[in-house]
Amino acid sequence: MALTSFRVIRGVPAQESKEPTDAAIAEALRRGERQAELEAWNRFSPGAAQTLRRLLGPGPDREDLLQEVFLRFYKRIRTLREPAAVRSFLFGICLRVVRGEIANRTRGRWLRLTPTGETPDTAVPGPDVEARDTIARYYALLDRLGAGERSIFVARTIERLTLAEVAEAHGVSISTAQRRLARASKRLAALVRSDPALMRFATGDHS
Amino acid sequence: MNRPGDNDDADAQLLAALSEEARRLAAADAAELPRPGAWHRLEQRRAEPRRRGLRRWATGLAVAAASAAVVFGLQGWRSGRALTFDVGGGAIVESGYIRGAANAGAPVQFSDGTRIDLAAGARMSVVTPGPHGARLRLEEGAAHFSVMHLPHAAWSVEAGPYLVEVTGTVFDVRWSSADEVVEVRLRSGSVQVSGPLLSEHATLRPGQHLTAHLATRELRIDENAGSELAPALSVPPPAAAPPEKTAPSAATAPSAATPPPAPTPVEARPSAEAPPPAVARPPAPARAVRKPARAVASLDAQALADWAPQRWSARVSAGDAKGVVAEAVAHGIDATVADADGAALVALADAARYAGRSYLAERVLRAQRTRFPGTPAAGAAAFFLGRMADDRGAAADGLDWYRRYLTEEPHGAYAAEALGREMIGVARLSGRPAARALALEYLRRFPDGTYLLHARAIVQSP
Repeated sequence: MALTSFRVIRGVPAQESKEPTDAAIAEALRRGERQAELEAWNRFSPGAAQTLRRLLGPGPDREDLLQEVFLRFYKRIRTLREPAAVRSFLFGICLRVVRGEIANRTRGRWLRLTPTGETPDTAVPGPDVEARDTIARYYALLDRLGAGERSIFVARTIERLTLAEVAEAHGVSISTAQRRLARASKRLAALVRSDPALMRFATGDHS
Repeated sequence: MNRPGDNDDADAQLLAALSEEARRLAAADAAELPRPGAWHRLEQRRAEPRRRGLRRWATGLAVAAASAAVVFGLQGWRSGRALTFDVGGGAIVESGYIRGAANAGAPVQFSDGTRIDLAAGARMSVVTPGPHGARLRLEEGAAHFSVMHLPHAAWSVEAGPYLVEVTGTVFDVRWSSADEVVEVRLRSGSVQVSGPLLSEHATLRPGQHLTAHLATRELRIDENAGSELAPALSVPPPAAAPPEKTAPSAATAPSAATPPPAPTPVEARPSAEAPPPAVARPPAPARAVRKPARAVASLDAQALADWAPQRWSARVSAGDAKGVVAEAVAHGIDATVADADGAALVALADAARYAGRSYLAERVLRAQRTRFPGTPAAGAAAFFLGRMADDRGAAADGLDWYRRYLTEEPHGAYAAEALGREMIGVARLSGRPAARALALEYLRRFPDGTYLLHARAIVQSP
C-alpha cells in the first residue's frame, strides 16, 4: 500500500537519483545496519512530523512524539513483511502513538492541570491567529469523539487516506471503517453546528 | 424542507472546509520540522535507560527483584546488572568518559573479563553499559579490545561515523577526528563494520585491516595485517606510546571463570600474537610498502585532472557542490586547505556543507579562521561552525561560536541569525528569563527579523 499523503518533502524522487529506495532502506534496517537508521530518519522524519501535526492539530512542537514514533519504528522494523510498504508501516506507528497521546491527554484532564503536569511556556504566536484559534476549536471537538472514531476520521479527512488505507491502518474491514467514519462525521458535524465561530469559518462568513 | 441527503452533503462540506484548513495549518507549522539536532536528541534518548517504563513498573519490579534475590540468590540477581569497569594507568574518568594520560596507556577492565587498552592520549566513552556488553565510543586515538566471548555478549564501538559490532573477539580500533581516518585491525573472532563508504556492513576476518579515509573517500581492506609489511598506520598517534608497554592478547585475557586481575598497564606481559598498532609499538614509517589491498571505494579519477579553485565559487553557485568537493579531495585535503586562497576556501566550505560533508566543512571552516584571521570570511566561518554545532545538538558549542561571530562581525551578514540563534539557544539551555536581554536586543536591532515571534514570546514570558 502506498500512501500518497505521506510524501517525501526533502530530496528527489528515488528513480531520478542514486539515493536508495524506501524499500532498500527498510531492507537495510531489517538487516540491522546502523547507517540505515540515519538514512531512514532523513528520509521519513519530515513526513512523519507532518503526519503527527495533522493528527494532533495545532500546538507546540511535539518532538518527543516524533522520537517515540522512531523508537518504535526501529524496534519493530523487523516485523515489517513488505519493505516497499515502509511508509504505511510508519504511518501506522504514528497513528498508534497519537492515539496513546490522546488517551493520555484525556486521562490527564482529570488528574492534572496540563497534559504534562508542568506549567507550559507561553506559546509562540504564529501567523493566522484566527484560523489557528478556529482549528484548535475544531480539534477540541474531534477530541470529544472516541479515540477510535477520531483516528479514523482524521486519517480519512485530514490525512486523506483512501478508505482501504484507513481500514488497513486501523486493522478493521472497509465496511467497518466506513460505518465508523459516517458515525464520526455525523456526530462531529452536529458539534460544529453548535459552535457559531466554527460555523462562521466553515461557511466563509468571516464578518 | 431538507431531505436527509442534503443534510449529509452540507455536513460533509462543513467538515471538508475545516479539515482543509487544518491541513494547511499543519503544513505551515511542520514545514521546518524536525528541528535541527532532532536526530542527535533521538540518539541520546535511545542511549538513555528506559526511565519511563522503569517508573511505571517500579513497584512491581522492586517486588520481583526482591523475590528473585530470595529465590535465586544474590549471584543470580547480580547477573542482570550492567557491567562495571575499573580504569587504571592514571586515566581520568568522569561519567563514563575516560581520558588516558598523555604519555601512558590506560587499561579498562570490565566485570565480565573484557579488557580495553587505550593508547597514550586516547579518549573513550562508555556510553551505555548493559548486562552483556556496552556501547563504547572511541572519541580519539587508538585502543586494543579483548572482548570476552560470552553468551548474549553485545558490544559495539563507535569510531567517528563508523560502528564496529562485536560478540567475542580481539581487535584494534583507531580514530582520528582531525584526519577523518578510522582503522580497524582484527586479531581474532569477527567484527562487522558499518559506516560511510560502505554500502553494506563489512565483515572482517582475522588478520584483515580496514582503513577508511573519509576526506579522500578511500576505503581499503588489507590482508595479513599482522605482518610487518602491513600498511603503516597513517594516523599520527596522539602521543608516542612507550615501546615496553604491550596490550594483552586474547591469550592473556582473563577467562569468565576467574576473576579479572586488577589493571596493571605498565606490567602487562608482551603478547604472543602480532603486536597491536600504536598501543604496542611505535608507528611504522609513514609510507611503508603496501601489500595488495582490496579497494572498496576510491576517489573519482576524473577529478584528479581538474584543479581550478578559482572556478569553485561559480561552480557552487551553479549547484556543483559535489564536483567541487571531489576536486578538492583529488588534490588532497591537506594541500587544498594549505594552498587554496580565501575565496576558494569559502567556496569549498559551502560546497562541503551543501554536499553533507560536515567533517570536511568543519575542517575547512577552521582553516579559514586560522589562515585568514580577522577577515569577514573568518567571522562567517565562526557563524557556520556555530550552526553546524547547533544542528548536531551541541548547543553550548553553537552558542560559543555565535558569540564569537557577533563579537567579530557585530554588523555582519549573519548577525540577525546569529543573535536569533543565540537567543533561542540560551532560552533552551538556561530558560527564557536568561534570554530576555538577548530577545530585547533582537527586537531593537531586527524588528522585522525572522526570529521576531520567538523574541516576543520570550519577552512576554513571566
